[in-house]
Amino acid sequence: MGEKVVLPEGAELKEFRPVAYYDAHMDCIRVLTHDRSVTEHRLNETFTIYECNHRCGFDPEYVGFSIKGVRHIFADVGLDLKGVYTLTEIINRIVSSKPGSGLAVMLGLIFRSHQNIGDLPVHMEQELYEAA
Amino acid sequence: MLVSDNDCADKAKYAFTWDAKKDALLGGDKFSPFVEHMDAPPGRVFVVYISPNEMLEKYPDIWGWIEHWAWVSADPDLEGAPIDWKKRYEEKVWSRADQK
Repeated sequence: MGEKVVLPEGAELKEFRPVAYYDAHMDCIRVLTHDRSVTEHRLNETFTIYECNHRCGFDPEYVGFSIKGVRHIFADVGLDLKGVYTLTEIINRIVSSKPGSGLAVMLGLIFRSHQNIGDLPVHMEQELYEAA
Repeated sequence: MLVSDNDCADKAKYAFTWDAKKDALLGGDKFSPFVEHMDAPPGRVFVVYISPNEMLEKYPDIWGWIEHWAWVSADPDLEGAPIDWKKRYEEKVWSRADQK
């Protein structure tokens, strides 16, 4: 067993569940399907995918992704930053606003490679610990 | 990067990067968590993004806030830097390699 973790008084760990949230400090939406150490691979200025570092069992190769420049993208496609959306709603809005664009095609590919995440709510004004 | 009303927010952040030798994972359950140390993933560097404290009068003991961290593929030429670091960052502020 490793080094014991002593949590701050009142803090409590919760079981991990797939999560999507807006990181306001870095202006990006982060999607995590598994609680793993990851390597971030930047595909371009907008998309980064998360590779699982220590795969075991049935771990998938990729366990999440991020979309950067969210304020600009949302303004461009007419989404309110203060709203609560499912991931599917956001993806569909971007793809339908820019059909055939590189942004839409790449987003569709990334989204399809991460199964069962479409219904995830994307918390736009909450920090990760609140959304999880 | 647009954060609040600052559309150049990325220029106000620092990236600390190094070739860390160990990775750390949270094991156990919520009642008895522990940190498990493993070898770092090969060919990777660890990257931490920090925003300097702009409210020093209010929080004088805090240099800055860690906003994100992750492993990134290593640059083949500059030890401890992530790949494409010249495209990722505005400028190199300091490098251990320059001190050798």
